[in-house]
Parts: sequence; C-alpha cells; structure tokens
Amino acid sequence: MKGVIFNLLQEVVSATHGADAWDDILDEAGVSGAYTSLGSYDDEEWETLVETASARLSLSRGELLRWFGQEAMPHLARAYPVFFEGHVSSRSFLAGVNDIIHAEVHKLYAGAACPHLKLRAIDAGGVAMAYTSQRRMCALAQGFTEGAARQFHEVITFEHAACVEKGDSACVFHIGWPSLEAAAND
Amino acid sequence: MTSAVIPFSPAQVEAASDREARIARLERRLSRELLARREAEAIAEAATHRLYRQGERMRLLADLALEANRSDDLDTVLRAALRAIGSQTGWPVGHVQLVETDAAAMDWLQPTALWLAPPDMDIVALRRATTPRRAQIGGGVLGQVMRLRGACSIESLASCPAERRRAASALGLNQGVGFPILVGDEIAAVVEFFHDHGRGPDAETLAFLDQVGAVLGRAFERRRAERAAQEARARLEESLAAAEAASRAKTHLLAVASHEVRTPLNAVLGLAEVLARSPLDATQREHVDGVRQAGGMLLRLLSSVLDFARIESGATPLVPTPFNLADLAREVTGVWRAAAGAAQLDLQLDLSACPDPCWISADSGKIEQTLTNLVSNAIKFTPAGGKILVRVETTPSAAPTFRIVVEDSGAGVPAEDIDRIFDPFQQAALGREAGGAGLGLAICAANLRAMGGDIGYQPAPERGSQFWFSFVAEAVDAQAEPAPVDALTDLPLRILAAEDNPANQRVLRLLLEQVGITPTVVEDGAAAVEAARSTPFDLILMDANMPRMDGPSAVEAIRALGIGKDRTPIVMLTANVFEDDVRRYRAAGADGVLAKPLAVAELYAVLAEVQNRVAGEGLEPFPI
Repeated sequence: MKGVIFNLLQEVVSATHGADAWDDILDEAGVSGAYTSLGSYDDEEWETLVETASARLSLSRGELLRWFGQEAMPHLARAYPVFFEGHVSSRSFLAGVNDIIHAEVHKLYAGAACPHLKLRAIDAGGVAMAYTSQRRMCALAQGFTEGAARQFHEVITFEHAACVEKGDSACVFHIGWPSLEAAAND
Repeated sequence: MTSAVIPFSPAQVEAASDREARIARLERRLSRELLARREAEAIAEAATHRLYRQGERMRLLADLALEANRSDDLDTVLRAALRAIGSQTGWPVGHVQLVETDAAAMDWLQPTALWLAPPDMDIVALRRATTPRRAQIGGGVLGQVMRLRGACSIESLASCPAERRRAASALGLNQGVGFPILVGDEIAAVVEFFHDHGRGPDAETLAFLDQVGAVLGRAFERRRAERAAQEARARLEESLAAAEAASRAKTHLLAVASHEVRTPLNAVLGLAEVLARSPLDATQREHVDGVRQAGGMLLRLLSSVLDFARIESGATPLVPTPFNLADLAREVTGVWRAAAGAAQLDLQLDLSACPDPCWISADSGKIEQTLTNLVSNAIKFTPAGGKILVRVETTPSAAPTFRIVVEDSGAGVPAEDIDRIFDPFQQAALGREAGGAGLGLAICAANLRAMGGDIGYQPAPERGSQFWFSFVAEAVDAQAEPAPVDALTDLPLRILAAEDNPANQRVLRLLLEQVGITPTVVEDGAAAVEAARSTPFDLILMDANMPRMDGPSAVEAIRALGIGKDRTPIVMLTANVFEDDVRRYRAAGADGVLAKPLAVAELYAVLAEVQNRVAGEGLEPFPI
C-alpha cells in the first residue's frame, strides 16, 4: 500500500478525532507510524491500522473504510486540486478516476497497485461501476464516491449490487444522481 | 520564621505527569516524522540516481544509434559501444566475438581485434587464450548468452575454458557479463566483459545491454544490406559487361556478314554497271536495269542494318560537308516521285520558305537518309489518291535552324504508338503489315541525335501525319559543282589494284578500262608492296581483307618505302567501312575509302581527282 493512503488516514483521523487519537492508534497497533507519501508499506500494516482504528472508533472495518473515504475527499481536493478541475459533477469526476487519476498516480508512485474501476452507463443517467482490487476495500470505494458527491454538493444513491464480501465474484455498485436525472426529465 | 512547605496539590501532580506524557507523545511524533523524512529523502535520492542512470543509458543508446547510422565502418561502432559500456559500468575489459556459420552449418564464435582494456593493463595472455570455439557448446558467459539469447552475467569464471579463466584471473578479473547482438532472431555477435565488482549487474542493466545489442544489430543489418547491394551491383555490372560483349559480338558478326554480302554484291552491281554501259537492245537493257535496281535495293537494306549496328555500338560519326540543301530535297523527292506516282500519290516539294540554292555545311548523308526514310514511310502509309508534301523551312541567320517537314494525308499514327515510334524495333501495327524492319525511324532519330538536332511527330492539321526534323547548320559559300564523271575518257593513269576476289578484280578492270585505264592487278598485300617498290603508280586501290598480307599492313609497308616525290595516294576499296575500320586505314596511311559495292560515280570522282593532281592542276593534298 502506498504511503500516501497512510498519510491520508492520518490526516482524516487527526482532523476528526485529534492528533492524539492517531498516536494512540499507532501505539495500539504497534506499527512504526513513520509514513512518507513516496514509500510503500505492507498491506498487513495497513490492515492492522484499519483494525485498530475501527476498534478505537467503534466502527466495523467496512464502516471505518467508508467513513475514511467520505472524509478523505476534501483533503484530496486540497492536495490534488488539478484532479477536480474541469468537473461540474461527481459523475464525470468518477468517469475519469480510472484513466486519468490512476494514470497520474502511476506516474507519481512507481509500483502503485490501484483498483480497477469499470464504468457502464445504465438507465436513467446512472452508472454501474465494477470494482476490482486485490485488497477488498469496496467500502473505501463507496466512501470515496460518496465523498466526491459531497465535494460537488450532490446527493447520490449508492447500491452495492454485488460484493465479494457476500460471496460474489466481483463488486458492482449502482450509482444514481437523482438531481441530474430530475433536471434531465424536466 | 519557618518556611512553609507547600506541597503539590494532586491536580498539580497530575498536571506534571500529563506534561511528561505530552512531551513523550510529542517526542514520539517527532521521531516518526524524522523517520518518515529520512525515508522520503532516501527514496527521492534513489529515484534521482535511477533517473540519472536512465538518462545516461538513453544518451548512450542515442549516441550508439547515431554512430551506427553515421559510420560506414562497423568496427568503429562496436569500438564505441565497448568504450561507452565500459565507462558507464566500470567493467575494464571487453571484447566482441562474431558468430560465423561454417560449411557444415555449425556456428562458431570468432574472436576479433575489437578489445577494450585500460592502457596499463597487459591483456596479451587473455587475447591469446581467446580462440575460435563452437558457439553452442561450452560454458562461460559466451555459452550462456548463446543459450539464453539474451544478456546475462556469471559470478565466477569457473565454467570458462581453463586457459581463458587463468588469463583473466591473472588480471584480477573473475566475473563475466555478456549480451548478444541480434539481427532479427539470429545472433550475429556476442559482446563480453570481464570485471571483479563482486555484485553482478541488476536486471535493469541486463535489459539495457539487450537494448544496446538491438541497436548494434541495426548496424550489422545495415552492413549486410550494403554488402548485398554491392554484390547485386557487381552482378549487374557483370551482366552489363556480358550484354555489352554480346552486343559487340553482334556488331562484329554484322560487320563480317556485311563484308561477306557486299563482296559478291559488289561483283553483281559492278558487272551490271559494266553491262549497262555496253550496247544493249531494249529488252536486255530492261533486264539489266532490273538487276541494278534490285541490287540497289539489297544494298540499301544492307546499309540500314549496318547503320543500326553502328547506332548500337554508339559509332555514328558526323561527316559535315558543304552541299546545297535545296538540291538534296529536290533529289530525294525526285527519286521517290516515280514510286509515289505508281502508288497514285501526289508528291510535292515546297521550297518557298528556304533560299535556293541553300549551301550549308552539315552531314548530308544523315539528312538525306532521314528525309528518304520519312518520304518512303509516307508513300508506304498513305492510301492511293493521297498527298505528300515535303517542306523545307529555315530561319535566316549565321547558323540557321533548318526544319524539314514531311506531311501526308494518311491515317496518322495511332495514339498508343506515338511514344515508341522512334525506338528501335518498335513497329506500329501498320509498319508490321508493311513488312519493315522497324529500324527506319530509330535510325532517323539516331541521325538527329548525332547532329544535335531533333525529330518529332504530330498529327497533320486536317488529316494524316506530320513528321519533322530540325537541325542547326552553318551557311557556307556556294561550291563548284563536281565535273560530270561521264566526261572522263582515256585517262593516262597508272593504277595498282590489290584485290584477291576474281569477280571483283574483273569488275574493277572493266570499270577502269571504260575510262581507258589498264590497271596492274595483284592478289594480295605482299604483291602490292612488291609492285609499288618496283613500279611508280599514280593511285593505289587496296582491298582490306586479303591473304598473305592484308590491306592496312600493305599500306603501312608501302608508306614505309617512302616512294615518290609526292606520296602516291592510296584508297581503300573495301566492304569493311565501320568507323573503327576507317580509323585503322587512316592510321596505316591510307588517304581515302571507297565502300564496296563500288559506286561508279565515287570511283570516277577519285580518278578525276588523281588526274587533276597528275596534270599539275591541283597540288593540294589528296582529300581524305
């Protein structure tokens, strides 16, 4: 896992629960806690952190990841404003994640293993997003999606139509933009 | 006064431990940040180093690619590669071995003179230990490269041939790296390095060496392509030389054949000429004229083949003489008027745009031949009832351009034939029907090329063809017309004639007797020399091909005698009249050439010239 995600979790936890809470999580998890955005760290270390943070914040792993995704979006927007420029909706922003944002991530962080997102337009302006990642962090993807919608001041519907956690072969999200659909129908 | 000891309140105690805990927490946080910063710096430095190394490698590849494209010498490119890799990796010794396939299809690694080594390192023993070896057999880095077909390295030279290993070890070199130079799938050469760096090259370096191998492969490919092109060029030149030799052989064959045909034709035409000058009744005269006409036609056909042979051999000499162009046009149209009449064609000559007389200096033979061909074609291809107009035009100036147009009212040249009518053997459909050799217009075109002129075709304004040719010629003063040869009688000339063919001897004797000359006739060159030594002559007529001594040798021998106050004119009488032959005769000392079959008028013109000379009227040198 790239150090930039560890840094982002630190920022989100510190901003919401204070820097001490992050220190405590690190101490409890028994990890080094020294993360640089350029570095790469074991996935196990990440999982330990997530597990410890979940316990500390009384959330399940999925809830923690979803919350982290939602809360991380403003931090990402501050750190990488260029990714958000030119978009007026989270719909077009999401459409560019795989080909534009992840492509840039690969340039910056050699060896980054980004999840693969495959988008397909479905009826009434919504999209079906297939999520493929070896790290089983579909909840984080949901959180990021919801965070992006919030970033664009939009309300979306998010249905986790299929999930590897439930025994499906892949995760599929159905995402809708009621306000865009209503505007299109007017 | 008692000092009051104010104990810490529990809150204060708690606050102090909180502070310590806080400080400890902050210290931990700081140490994490420090760690993270150092790690980030290490990552950045490694990335910078990697970028630098990649940049250097890119530069090296670009330099090698440039060198491979620019240099004609493969060794220069390979030396540059050895130096560049050596300086980038620090590997001190390198060498290139070529892969060569023997007759039994076995690949061999052949050492080359391409070595890299520091100036102070003595690698003589290593070079000596590097001998040709079978490519797929054996260990060491070479064997591994051949097997894996890619760059590889070995930590120890244990698997190398013992002598090489010892020689390398003596230099402190115990590890090897090698990579193939690939041309397509084929290994053209292997580059090897020796070093003692402990750790071998990483995967990235090996991949880079493979890239270098690919770039060098392009240089090998280019050299192979150049060699193939050279071989193809050599083969082409060989074929060209063979074709030229064949062409020369053909020309030679034509020359021999022309001689063979001209000799008997000379007798036929000469005897017919003699016969025509004897008293004959009307029927006999008609028969003799028939023989003369048919013989003349045969002679023209022979001339056209010979002309073409000359064109092919590139020998179409320009012989400018002063003549009256208007007369020439009149003569040619006059000669063909009968044929045109027989074909119910109206042949007209228009001299309104040309001064008359029109004396110029040009190759009258070529102009006559060209005009004759065009007029004869027009007669051949114009249907009965048609018209043929020959027009001579000129622009007045010191070196005027003349343009002669032959216009007919025939069918014209089909569009698909226009581009090739002036090429040899390219007959238009009508020409094939008419049974021509397909040489006429090609000869005309060659004539005009030799004269620096131009020839062309365009459809006539209304119907039919317009063939034209133009040339630049110098205007000259009017010349005296030659005396009519028939005026010659009883010439008191002493003539020696060397001729081995009895029929030709007879023709010559008869023609000369008609003007009152009894020649001394001998059968070969040696006899001619003998006769010239013992008897003075006014003119020597010399055949070229004779037994015992040929004509040119006899001329040389006679010239060597140095007989007479003024040297006796010698005129060659021969069927061999190619440019090369004429040059040979002149070099031997001959003054002129009369072609066989003999044109009586030409022979008599020579006699008149000699007569003038003997009579002291003209002491000018004999015209060549």
